Amino acid sequence: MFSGLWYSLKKAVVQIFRNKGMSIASLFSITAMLLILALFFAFTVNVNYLTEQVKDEFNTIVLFLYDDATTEDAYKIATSIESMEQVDSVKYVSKETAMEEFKHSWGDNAYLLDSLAENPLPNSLRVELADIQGGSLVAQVAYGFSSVEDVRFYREEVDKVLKISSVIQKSALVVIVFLVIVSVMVVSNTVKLTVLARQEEIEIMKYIGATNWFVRGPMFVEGMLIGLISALIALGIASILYVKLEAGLQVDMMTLFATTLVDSKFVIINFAWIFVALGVSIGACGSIISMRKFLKV
Amino acid sequence: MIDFKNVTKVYGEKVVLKDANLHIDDGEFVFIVGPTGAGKSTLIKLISREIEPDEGDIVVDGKVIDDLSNREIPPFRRQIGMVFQDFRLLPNLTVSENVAFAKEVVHSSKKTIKRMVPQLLAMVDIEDLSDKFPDEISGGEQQRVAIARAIANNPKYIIADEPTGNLDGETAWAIMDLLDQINKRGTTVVMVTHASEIVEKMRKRVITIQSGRIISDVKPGGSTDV
Repeated sequence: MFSGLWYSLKKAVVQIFRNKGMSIASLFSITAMLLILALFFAFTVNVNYLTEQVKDEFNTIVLFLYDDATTEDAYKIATSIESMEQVDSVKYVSKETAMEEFKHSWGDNAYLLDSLAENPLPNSLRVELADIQGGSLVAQVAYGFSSVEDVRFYREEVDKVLKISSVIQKSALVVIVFLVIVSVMVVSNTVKLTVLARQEEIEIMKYIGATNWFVRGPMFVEGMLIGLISALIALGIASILYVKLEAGLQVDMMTLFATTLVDSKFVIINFAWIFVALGVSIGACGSIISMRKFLKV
Repeated sequence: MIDFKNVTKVYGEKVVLKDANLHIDDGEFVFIVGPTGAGKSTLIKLISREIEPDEGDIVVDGKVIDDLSNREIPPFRRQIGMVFQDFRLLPNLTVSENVAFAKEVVHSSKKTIKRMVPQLLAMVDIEDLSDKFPDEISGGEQQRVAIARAIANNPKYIIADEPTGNLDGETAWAIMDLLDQINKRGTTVVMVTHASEIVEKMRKRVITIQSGRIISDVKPGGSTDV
């Protein structure tokens, strides 16, 4: 078994060098595919990341309480809502605290609020959601309490963001699947040309009594090696580009979305395993598919 | 032993072999002759299990080879050494690598290969060509390499398809000598040929095929039985 693998590896390396033209053609096509793939992957990951950020920001629901509600009422509501699995935590904000915060947000103009005879802000409960999808359910439950005057949450905005990001994710997935299929086809065609050139050789091997795997082994390994090398080249290029992009966009991203791009370390690690797995399997599939026909001697 | 029992092979509408019966004993030397398109190549392809008969059975060493599974075909072929008109050497391997390849296919150890290949080359008288590539040597020499490869795994049968077809007279006779020697050591040789001069002089069994039928089978003694 091991000697068979070694035999295949040796033959494969020799073949790659003897068929330089074909090897380079396959190498370029796989690398190009992986790079386009990288573009979509980086885009999708960042859209997801942005969505998460938005979710975090909008995952607070505020329950406004009637003025006649007692602290005990508030406490009761808080405990029952906190027990819901969609809820992370509940915090009571008295009208005095709310006014403080309000004044704070007005900054230097806060003195204008001093003239108010009476604090118009209600007592409230701030609910942090564990799962943003549960927002409407929590709102519904909250309306059930007689002490709750109003509920404020960003349902529509959040829904919109979620919808957009899911459309982006789905279309990216379609594009990625399409790209993988195309690259398997491109590689199998490239390998087919190599195999065509070696058709006679394969026939001779079969006449001598070589098993299919004895013929296929070296070509299979050859495909995988080309895939692996392409993956490493693509990884290098994609990583350098992403790091540059991250550095270049940092300021713009911060002002526009109050966040940065996804950390390059995370993206590069993912590039690495995706590329290697895809490159190697594209190479392997390509050679298997293209050889099937010629082994029937 | 090779037995054809009522074997028929049809390609589309064309019957290339019709109800053929044949028995070849171990150690025999058999010529198969007949005009082009008579069904000689079909016969050889049937023996090497490249194709399967539409009717009838082909039995090699007591085993019906039509029943061989894909997995059993490679081991079966290793007991048959094939020699072709166009030599069919691997062009990017040297002479000794070509012969060694047949041993690699059966997973011989490196040591065995190193020891056996020079012996095989010596048997066919080309030990001095071992590092040449096929396109650097003559046709007769290439056929010698092919024969060395064919006998590398000590096969029971040599199937030769017009082995002298591309060679001039003198070279052809040298190849025939070689095949005769191999036969004398006990290997069964089945040879398809057009060369009537060779067939006459060799005085071996001759099977004649015409239009897909075996029309005569003459043993060296002269008796005919079909």
